[in-house]
This record gives sequence, structure tokens and C-alpha cells, in this order.
Amino acid sequence: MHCKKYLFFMLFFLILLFPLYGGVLDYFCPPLKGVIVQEQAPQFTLSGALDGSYQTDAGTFFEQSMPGKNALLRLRGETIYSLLRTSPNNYVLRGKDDYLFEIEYLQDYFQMTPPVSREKTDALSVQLQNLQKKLTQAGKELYIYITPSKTRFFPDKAPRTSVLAGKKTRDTDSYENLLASLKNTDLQVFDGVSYLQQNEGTMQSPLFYASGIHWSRVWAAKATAAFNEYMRQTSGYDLAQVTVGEVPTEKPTAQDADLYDMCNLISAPKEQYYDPTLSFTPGSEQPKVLIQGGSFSFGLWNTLGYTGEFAKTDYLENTLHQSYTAETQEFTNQTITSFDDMKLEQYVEDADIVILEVNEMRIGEMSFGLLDYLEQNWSPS
Amino acid sequence: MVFSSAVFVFAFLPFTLILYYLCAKFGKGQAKNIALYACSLLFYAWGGVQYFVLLLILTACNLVFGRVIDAADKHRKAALGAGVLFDVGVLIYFKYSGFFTDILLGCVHALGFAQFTLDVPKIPLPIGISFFSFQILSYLVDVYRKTVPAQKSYLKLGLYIMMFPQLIAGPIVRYSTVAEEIDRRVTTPAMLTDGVTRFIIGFCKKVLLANSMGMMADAVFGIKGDAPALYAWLGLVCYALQIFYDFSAYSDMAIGLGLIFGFHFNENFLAPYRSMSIREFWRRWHVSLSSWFRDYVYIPLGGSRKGEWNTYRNLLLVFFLTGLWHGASVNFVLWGLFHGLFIILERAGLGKLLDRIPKCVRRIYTLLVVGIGWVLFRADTLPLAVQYLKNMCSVHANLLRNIDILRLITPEFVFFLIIALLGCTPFLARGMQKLSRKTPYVYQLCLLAVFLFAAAYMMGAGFNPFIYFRF
Repeated sequence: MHCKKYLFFMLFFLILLFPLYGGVLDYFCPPLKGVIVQEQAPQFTLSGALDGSYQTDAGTFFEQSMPGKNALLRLRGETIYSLLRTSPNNYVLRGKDDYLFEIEYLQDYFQMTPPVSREKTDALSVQLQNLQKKLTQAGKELYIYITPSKTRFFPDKAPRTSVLAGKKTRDTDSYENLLASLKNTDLQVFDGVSYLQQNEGTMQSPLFYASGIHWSRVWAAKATAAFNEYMRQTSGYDLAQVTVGEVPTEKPTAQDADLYDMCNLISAPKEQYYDPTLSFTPGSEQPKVLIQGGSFSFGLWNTLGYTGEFAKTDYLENTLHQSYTAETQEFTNQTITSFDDMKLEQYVEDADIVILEVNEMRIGEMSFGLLDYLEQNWSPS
Repeated sequence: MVFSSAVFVFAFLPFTLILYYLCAKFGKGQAKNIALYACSLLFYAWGGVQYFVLLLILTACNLVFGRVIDAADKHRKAALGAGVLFDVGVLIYFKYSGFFTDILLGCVHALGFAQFTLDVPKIPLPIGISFFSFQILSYLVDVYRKTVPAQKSYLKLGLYIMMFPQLIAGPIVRYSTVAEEIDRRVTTPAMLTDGVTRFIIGFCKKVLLANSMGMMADAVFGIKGDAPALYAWLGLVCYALQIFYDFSAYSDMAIGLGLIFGFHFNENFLAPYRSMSIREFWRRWHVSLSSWFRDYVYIPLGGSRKGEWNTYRNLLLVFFLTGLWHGASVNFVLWGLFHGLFIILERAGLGKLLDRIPKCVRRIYTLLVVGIGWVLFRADTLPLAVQYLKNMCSVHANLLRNIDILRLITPEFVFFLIIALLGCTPFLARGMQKLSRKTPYVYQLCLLAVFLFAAAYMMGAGFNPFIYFRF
């Protein structure tokens, strides 16, 4: 009877002591996904203690490194996602039929942010032609690879609030402006958007999973194979031919469920996922390639770069620089902070083919400054 | 340190509970007071050690003032005056010197001395200074009035001033309320249960409701310029809910923690949004502050005993001070005077008119006045408040397409909004009471589950990882 009176308090107290046993739960929880900036333990300073900044930092550090935090965050995420039908991550919006979107893709497609104007895409086109001239002088080739946005293919799955926020009548969008600007040039362009539109339904794998923002790995590989075929026919190289198949898989791999992963839930996503299967008919030549782009260019690396189709591949994706040499099977991986630091011009000098990937949502910031950098820092030797 | 932080919930509170109950069980004499005082010092020092030294000095000075007032026969008033002057001086120096310097500078410039400059002092504001200053002042006045004897122990007076549950966000506890419990107190199992219940309710109100409403309020009040009326009203409703749940949550947590440590603090919020007049609103909103002003300012000024005009003057002064107490800015002062004006109007005849109209209309009137007041309270500057009030009456259909606001209208937000609105009515409280009476264990289990979820919610409030590092 005596114990019963204190039971409620004891259970409350047990929750307060969560950090003492929460670590055990963390052991069973998968680690949290996504880019998380982890604070370092603060250094004690008298001035910091006096003005309270040391204590604030210590509080933040405690919160970030508390045992059991992963379990609590997953509990929170799952409750909000499952019971309140909302994405627990502010950068991810939940649309119809559990389709997840990153907000900037919605903003771009529904033109909540102004599209890249024709003047700007014309200027971009001129810059690309200038680069092509310089590359041709040096005996190199330039390819432009346009990748699609999920929202273009699933606008009806977008959250209703985004549709409301967008313009009722869409103007010409950034992608259409870019295509128009590139149309009358001799630039070699592969349009992944149009490829998907023409080939949709030919594979079991969806173009995009509800749980991811990137195109499915199967379709990334499929489009890459088509792009490879385009290069084989237009470049002077006898490249290998790539054929892509698919096999169903229990769990998603990497980008296929990236937005779902960002929500850090307890339950697994409920979709049928597929793995791409690749087969190659070898060509007689293996050029050296430099690939630069955003996260959508992963298909280029997975299908062509890391598989050894090229003699050497340097792959720049956001802040990531990966390199693979087919002959020695040497693989390197590093983070870059600027093109200047990595001496990008040396990699251009070394390459036979330069591939620039741009996602239709990122046309305004295509190449992340690479074009400007090469304009200023590289001339054919 | 705030109650809704991981370091408080998962480190400070369990540590304090263990220390306190060990001292209560095995310690002698003042052991548990020492434990509670030490933890309160740690709690306050977490916000900056420099401020905590100020509190130690204030405690020592007021211990002396209290004893001098108590001991003096002829010069009690002078001793009280000196004490009040000292405490108010400290408050003005830390909280209002910048504000008053700004006003002075504005006046001098308006008189044509544009070249005249004055350094506006940038003095860091000690956390909770408005609360503990008023507690100290009430102590001195109560000693002067002989309502309570002067405290002789530094520890006990220090504990009254610095007790962590009510130190930074109230309620403003009178010394007479806790004087006996500082000397002798027991925590019964019922007090523990009630205290934990109250703490959990307050914690959930803050973490789940106030913060959710705050996100929307911040987004709408963040619009500089034109905005459609629909958003302006939504923002206002959310802010009204945010401030109520935020403030009352801290009082709930303070009252709950007080019970856990054997203290009974008075209620601070009595369902204010059910009021049917502004007068009633102030009997229900931040009761400890309004009653403080009533007992220590309004009544000593003569209250309503010295004629109609003097009553109005006293009311305006009280509400001017109420506004100023909330913050050193013109907006707060105007907010106070705005409420004062309606209190006077209700005294002057509006109140009688209100008595004759249906209850729901009276409630709408009160909510409208309080709501407009909140615009003054929340807007960063007076022009922004005016712009916001304009927006509340405007139609800008094209501006409805604001993704920053629309994206916040999620099922999660709607759910918490409904709960928050229900919480302002008697229905939710009645339902909870019914459940606690009929099936207390189920009720307690629900509370614990919600507390665990709220704690998880708190941990993840700022957790929004990106997919990858961007260039």
C-alpha cells in the first residue's frame, strides 16, 4: 500500500533518469541519419562561466550527446509521422499518399521562388559554350546532363499547402528556359527529364520512390546507360555498352529512401524497392572522365565511374571528391572546401571528357561556381 | 536554465530530487533547506555566475533592511523607504536604465539639441529580476506592516528569494505564503502525486502547445509589411495561445515543483480566456502580479476610496507600471495603458452595459480587447504593431500564397491548435478531472506517456538534419 502511493512519483523519476539506461535503447536503435552538426565539449573559461555562455554550450553538448537521445528522437519522429501524419523534419514535407518532398523542390516547381529567367539561361549557355571551346582546343569533350525533379513527375502528390502557395498558372520554368537556350548551340546535352517522360513504365521500379527525393537508383542507372549510349554515338570514343535490369529488394539502399531516413523513424518504409543490375559489353577505349554535379549525379558514379568503364574517373558531388582508377582499382575519397584548394584545373587537364550534371531545380546555381572558376583559372595548355 | 531543456529535466531535476530527499531523510536541522538553496544557486548560476553574485548581495542587503524595519520603532517608514529605494534602484538600473536613457535622449533631441549624445548603457539583464525584485519588495512591506516577522536567517531568506521553481518565471510568491513552510514542511504522498501531475501538465503545455503555437505566431508576426487578414488573425490566435500556455506552463511547473519540495504556491492563472470583462481577465491572468500591484501600489495609493478621478488615476498608474514590468519598451507601456483604459471604461459604465448583454458577446468583447492588446505586446516596434492591426482588417488574396506560413499548417499543428483551444474551455479540464477520479491509474499512466513523448519532443525540437552537406 505504501509503495503504491509513491508508484506514480517513482515512475516519473524513472523517466528523469532516462540518460542512465537510455544508452541501452540506443544500442538497439539504428544511428540517426542525415547531416548533423555535433557540438564539441566546451572549454571552461571564467568569462564564459560569468556570462553564462559556457553553461549554454555545456547544455547544448549535454543535449546532443545524452545517452538515449537517438531512441527519444526516433520515438518523437515516429509519433509525429504515424499519429499526426506530419513529417518530423522541417526540411521534409509530407504530401498525398505518403509522398515526401524537400521544400525547395516544391518551391521551384510551383514557382514560389521565381524561375531562372531566359536571360540567365542564355548567359549560362554562353558560358558553357566558352568552356566547350576551350576544351575542344585541348582535345577534350564536354557533356551536359540534365536530371529531373520529383515534383515534375508527381505534382498531384505534393502537399496541398504547396499547391496553394504556388501560382495557379505556371510560367515557363527554369528547365524550359535552359532547354530553349541550349537548343541552337552545338553543346552536347542529354536531357534526363525527357528520357524519363518517354520511358516511364518500362521498368517495375518507380521513377521516384515516395520515400526519397532523388530518382530511384534503377532509373538513375537506366538514364545513365542511355546517356552513355549518347556519348558512345557522339564522342570519338568506342565506349562500353551498358544494360540495366532490376531485382526486387527487401530494404531500400542509400538515396532511394533518403527523405524517409531524414525523418529518423522507428518503422521501415513500406514500399517495394528495387536494385539495379548492370551488364557491360566492353568497348575498345577507356577515356579519363571528370564528372561534376549535385546529388542527382550519383547514377553516373555508380553506373559508369566506379564500375571501371573509364580509365580514371574524378567525381565531384557537392563537397565530395571521389576518384577511381580502373587499372589499379585505386579509390580515393575526400571532402573539398573549394575548387581552388583541390586545384581543379589539374583534374580538367587530366580528363578526356568533362560531364556537368545539373538538376532542373538547381539550374540557377549550375556547377556550383565551377564554370566561373575554370573561366578564370584554366586555359588549354 | 529553463524547465523545458534536457539539462534541467534529465540532469538538474533528478540530481536535485536525489540530494533533497537524501537530506530530508538523513539530514538534520536545515539540511533540506541547504540542499534546496544550493541547487537553486546552481540553477541560477547556470544563466551566468555574474548575476548570481548580485542575488547573493541582494539577499544580504534585504536581510539587513528587514531586520532594521522590524526593529525600528520611530523610523520604520524611513527604513522601509530606504529598502524599497535600494531594491527599486537595482531593478531600474539593470532593467530600465537603457530605456530611460533612450527616452531622455529623445526628449533632448525633440527640444532641438540634436548634437547632444549620451551613451546608452548596455547592462546585461539578470534573469528573473522582475520576479525576485517584487518578491523582495513584498517581503519588506509585509515586515513593515507586521504581517510577517523579519527573517533572521540568511539561508531562509535566500531560499525564499532564490527558490528555483519560481525564480525566473514566477509566480510572484509572497513571503507570508511560504514563511512557515520554509521553517517546517513535509511532502506527503498526495503532494508528490499532485506535484508531479502539475509539473507534467505544465511541461506538456510548454513543449507541445506553447512552442507549436509559437512557431506559427513567429512566422506571421515575422511578415514585415502587408499580409492578408486571415493570416494576421491566425497569428494573433496562435500568439494568444502561445503566451497563455507558455506563461501558465511555467507557473504550473513551479507550483508542481513547489509541491514536490513541500511548498504550496498560489495559483497564477485561472482560465483567463473565459473572462467576460477586462476586469475579470485581470482577476484570472497572472494573478500573483495583479494582486501584488493591488496590495502594494493600488491600495496604498488610495484604491477606489478617494473619489472617481483618483481611482482612474490610480488604475492608470497601476497599469502603466504593469506594462513597464513586462518589459522596458514603449509597446509594453502602451499595452498596459490600453488595458488600464478598458478597466476605467468598464468602471465608468461599460461594465454595466456588459452585464446586460449575452455571455458569449461579453467573452468575444474581452477576447477582442485582449487580442488587440497582444498585438502591442508582441510586435517589435509600434509601427509594426500598427501595420499588424491594419493587416487584421485588410484583404490581400494574392499574399495568401505564403509558403512559410502554409507549410506550418500541418496535421500536427492543427491537432495542437485544437487541443490548445480546447484547453481554454472548461471541457478539457473537466474531462481530465473525470478520468483522474474514475480511473486514477490509467490517468497517471497517460500522463507519464505524454510526459515521455513531450520529453522526446523537446529533444527533437531543433533536430532537422540535412540530407547532405551542400557546397
